[in-house]
Amino acid sequence: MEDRKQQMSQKSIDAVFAGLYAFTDIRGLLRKSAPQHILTPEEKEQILTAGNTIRTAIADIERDLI
Amino acid sequence: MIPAGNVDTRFVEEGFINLDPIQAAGRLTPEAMKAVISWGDGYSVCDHCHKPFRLDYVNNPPVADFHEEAAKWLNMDSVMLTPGARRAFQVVTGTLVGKGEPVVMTGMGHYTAYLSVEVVDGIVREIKPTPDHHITAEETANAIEDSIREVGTPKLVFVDAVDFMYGNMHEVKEIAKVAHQYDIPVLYNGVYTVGVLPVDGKKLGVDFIVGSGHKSMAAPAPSGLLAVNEEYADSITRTTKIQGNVTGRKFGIKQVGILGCSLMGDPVVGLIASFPTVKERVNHFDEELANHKIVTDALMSIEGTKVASEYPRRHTLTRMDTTESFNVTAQTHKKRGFFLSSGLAKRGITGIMPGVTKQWKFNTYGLTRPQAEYLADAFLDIAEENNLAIH
Ligand SMILES: Cc1ncc(COP(=O)(O)O)c(C=O)c1O
Repeated sequence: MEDRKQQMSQKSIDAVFAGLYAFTDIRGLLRKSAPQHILTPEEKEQILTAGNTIRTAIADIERDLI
Repeated sequence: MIPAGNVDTRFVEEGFINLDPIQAAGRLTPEAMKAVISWGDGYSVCDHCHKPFRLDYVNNPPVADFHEEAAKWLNMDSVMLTPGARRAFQVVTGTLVGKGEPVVMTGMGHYTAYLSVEVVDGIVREIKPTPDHHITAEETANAIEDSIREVGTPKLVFVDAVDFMYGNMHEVKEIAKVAHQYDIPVLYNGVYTVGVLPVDGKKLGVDFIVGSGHKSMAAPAPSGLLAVNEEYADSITRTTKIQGNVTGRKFGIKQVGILGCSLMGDPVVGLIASFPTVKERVNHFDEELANHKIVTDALMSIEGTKVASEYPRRHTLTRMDTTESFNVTAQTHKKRGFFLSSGLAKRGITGIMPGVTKQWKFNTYGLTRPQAEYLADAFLDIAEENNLAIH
């Protein structure tokens, strides 16, 4: 029981940081493209990748903690 | 804007091109931004601090490795971390300079350099800048000779690689040669170079290299480093010998000069997290200069506009002289001198001192090529809007 609890919270912790780091990648792209925020095709791809990571992270957190 | 508790969220870098001369190369890398998210708690880096309980022995995060790698990178023998360049100055003056003893330093130095001499009750002897705002080996020799004659042999020669007033590059190697002829150690102030362009201590022949993490190594404030050559390593990193007279307490191998552990939490972790990028980026300084040139070329195409710094530019921090262009506009504009900063702000550009139109400084370090081009166009746009001739 104790072990299982620990595994579950580790998953949520990992998901929180994965999400925050993915948001940070988006933040980096905003900085690189300020002030117009016109993104190149690769940068748009990076936004999509970060978005997927964030969505997965939220799903993991909800599954684990709720 | 969403606040962060009782402070506003800062979104200068996300929303604007920021030209502030002191902020450009201290912007965090994404790696550092991630690291500071998880290491922000007070003494976080002390999680894995084991005997002998000293910052530079900590392996997780890799503080110990960073010390070694940073020394190698600068081609010096050892490195000490400090809370900013100013504390590194203080460690050196605190070690080498006694009451009433002279330090020769550039007349274009930062106030913290002067204060680092004042705090040990030393005396400042300035090197006279040339009319074109350079510090030369010849004038250094004159300052040393004057000092010897009037107050005694200097304990240190302190020279900025690139000064903060003009962003001019100074002949440090030649200055070091002259100082060493008098057996005086040389401190290379690399706050605008370490982390920005390649720096090699042995090639320069200097005894100390000071870098600023928050100015030029993409690290949070306060952070910095002091790199030392072998001859001075023992005295700079000397360890405590003090003992309590009642309790008999002693304090292991804590370093005296920086009062034990110097840099904790986000500053040190951010410095380390940015380091791989910083090591790589110094090899691409030519690209930074090319971007900078796009902007200075555009500015100089506005009639009456001059570069007040040395030219061609060897650094991305530049002082412009727009006395004969933007300042002429300011005389009759309803916003007076503020028309320039407000015209830039309207275009998503910040960091130039508001209201100033005679001489002003900016730094393009870290801008992408499209950002440099956008910035160049913005200056031309403002000139055109105010009927200034463009060639
Ligand atoms: C030439 C120079 N030296 C030293 C400093 C101080 O650096 P730090 O803030 O890292 O102490 C500055 C800061 O602007 C500077 O311009």
